[in-house]
Amino acid sequence: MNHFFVLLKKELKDMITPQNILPIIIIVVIFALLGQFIGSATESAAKNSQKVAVQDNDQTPASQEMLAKLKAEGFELVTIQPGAQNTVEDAAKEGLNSLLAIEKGFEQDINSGKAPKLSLHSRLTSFSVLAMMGASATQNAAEEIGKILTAKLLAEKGITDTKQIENPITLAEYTHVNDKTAQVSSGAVQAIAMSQTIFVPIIIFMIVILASQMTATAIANEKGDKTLETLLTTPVSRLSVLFAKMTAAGIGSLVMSLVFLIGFSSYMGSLTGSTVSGMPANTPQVTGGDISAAFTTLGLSLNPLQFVIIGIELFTTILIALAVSTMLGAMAEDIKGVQTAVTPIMFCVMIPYLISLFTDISALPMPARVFLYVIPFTHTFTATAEMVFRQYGLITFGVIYQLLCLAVSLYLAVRLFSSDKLFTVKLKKRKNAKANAAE
Amino acid sequence: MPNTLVVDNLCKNYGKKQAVKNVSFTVGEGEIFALIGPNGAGKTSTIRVVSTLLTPSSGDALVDGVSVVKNPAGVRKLITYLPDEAGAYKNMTGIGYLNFMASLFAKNNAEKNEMVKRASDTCALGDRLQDKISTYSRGMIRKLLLSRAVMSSPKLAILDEPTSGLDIINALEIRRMIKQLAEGGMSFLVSSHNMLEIEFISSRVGIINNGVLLECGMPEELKAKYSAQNLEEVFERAVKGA
Repeated sequence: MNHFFVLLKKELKDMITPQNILPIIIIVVIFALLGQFIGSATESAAKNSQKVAVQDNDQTPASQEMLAKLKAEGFELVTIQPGAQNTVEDAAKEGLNSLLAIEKGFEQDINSGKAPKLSLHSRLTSFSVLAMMGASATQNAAEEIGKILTAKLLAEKGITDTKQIENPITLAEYTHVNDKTAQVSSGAVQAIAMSQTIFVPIIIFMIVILASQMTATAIANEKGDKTLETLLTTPVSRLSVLFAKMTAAGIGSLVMSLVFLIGFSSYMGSLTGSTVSGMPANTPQVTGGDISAAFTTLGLSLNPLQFVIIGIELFTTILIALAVSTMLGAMAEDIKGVQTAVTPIMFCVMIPYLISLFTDISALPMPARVFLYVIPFTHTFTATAEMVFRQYGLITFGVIYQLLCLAVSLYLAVRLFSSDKLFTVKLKKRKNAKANAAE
Repeated sequence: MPNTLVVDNLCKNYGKKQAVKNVSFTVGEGEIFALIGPNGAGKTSTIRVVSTLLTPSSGDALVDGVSVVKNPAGVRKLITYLPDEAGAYKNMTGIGYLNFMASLFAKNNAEKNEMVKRASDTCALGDRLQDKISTYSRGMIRKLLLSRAVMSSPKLAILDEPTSGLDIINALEIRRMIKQLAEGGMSFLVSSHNMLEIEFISSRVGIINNGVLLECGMPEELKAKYSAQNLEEVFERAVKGA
């Protein structure tokens, strides 16, 4: 009988418990609900993106002409009664958080050569992206009135071709990556790249933390129940026991990560997809197809070899975490001590994770870089960016360093599992541990 | 009587502390040999060395002629070990646990099924074997573990405090099980600090204190030697005389 598979089956069965499965189901449900909620909220925000509440307090031909031209430009106007006291509340009743008011004397100011007055009232209910979308439509309407007035004034001066004055410059935006160039806004590229690459560090973070905790808990549990002693006196090699545990934890964490990935994709997809569709009609947009083409042109899309290298780094990271957590779990006083035992791993994952989210690690001062690059997990967090920006030296160093760390941590884990230390070493109270082991 | 276990000048050190000092004894076929002594005397260290969990600092132990130093993997095929206050996998059912453990000893399914049947008969838990171990009482878990320890018909079953924490009825049942199995030819190395229990089940005893084996012999012989009523008095006098 293959002992490894017998042990692996037992380890996997141990993991499939209501306590382990329930959180996964809850996460999936939460993400599905969040995705649905965000989707419907952004859909309604997008619907309102051209809807503007207006209040004409001037009631003159000039003000009415303005409103008619806004309609002609595609704005859907919701009229609020002139002179109403709670104008913003009235707009809110129509599902709008802002209002554009044409103030009294609008026509008179135009005729006397003064700047006519408009008022923009916004009702702030939250700081969310979706809450801001309504206000931007009203702002666009105000800008449009400005443009209409400019055209009108120029026409009165006998200038009919107003296009050049309205747009005195033609701005062509180019983005350069390495030696490649594409005619696309760097902001748009960054926004899309970030929304896509943000998953990678989150998944790495989740996998490493979950795998570490599962392995350390499994080992500490077996030590506490003395089932490990029983297992290690059966005709099974200690390495089979060790690798069965590590493999089961690896499989478990990969499954959980996949669930997180699907959940996050659904959540982020609904958010980013609607933000683009929520943009006002007159905002210059880069379509999905253009961005995709620009990504390829700029070399931002990873090729299969680059994916394989990132995969190797990710796999190495998991194995390092598993080997280290095996040792820490074996040294934990008891099951309660596991959380404390895996704290060093959590810090080693959290530090590069957070820093890589906010800044470019390779641009940090030398001492900070050395500190971060000594942590083997850092190289996985930075792998995608290094690949895209062709920092091949860093990638090569990262892969070699990680493999070295893996070899050392596996060697130490195997040594620990093959020696008396498995039963005599503890993280705390070493002297007491030896005394205990004596009996 | 051929020897199943020969412990020869065994020493085990933890750093500078000597937990076991030149301990030597033998266990014959079908014999129940008990190591008795207080907590911290060196019983568990000796047992852990024999069961290949720890390596000796010097000396050796041979199980059916196989050395724990030279061939620990070979020894593990001949022994089973029941640790003190051991648990079982709580998420498994009793029968699932026996199946899992049998898979680690058996060479094929037929042998595995035979082992599981033997264990099921030994523990006599009946339908409760279908229930999760988390629902078992301490006595039921101990019976399950003991049946697991003997299901592969090992040359030597090593039991550390086999009845610790059990009530009188459960402890009696476990002792009877051990005696019956020994009568069938299985050898036992048992440790306990309950000397009255040991007097009831063991063929021979070894009195250990501070890592030193003070006495070794049949309970009746030792009682006669020390003019004692029971093994507790033997232990007291042996320690004082040491």
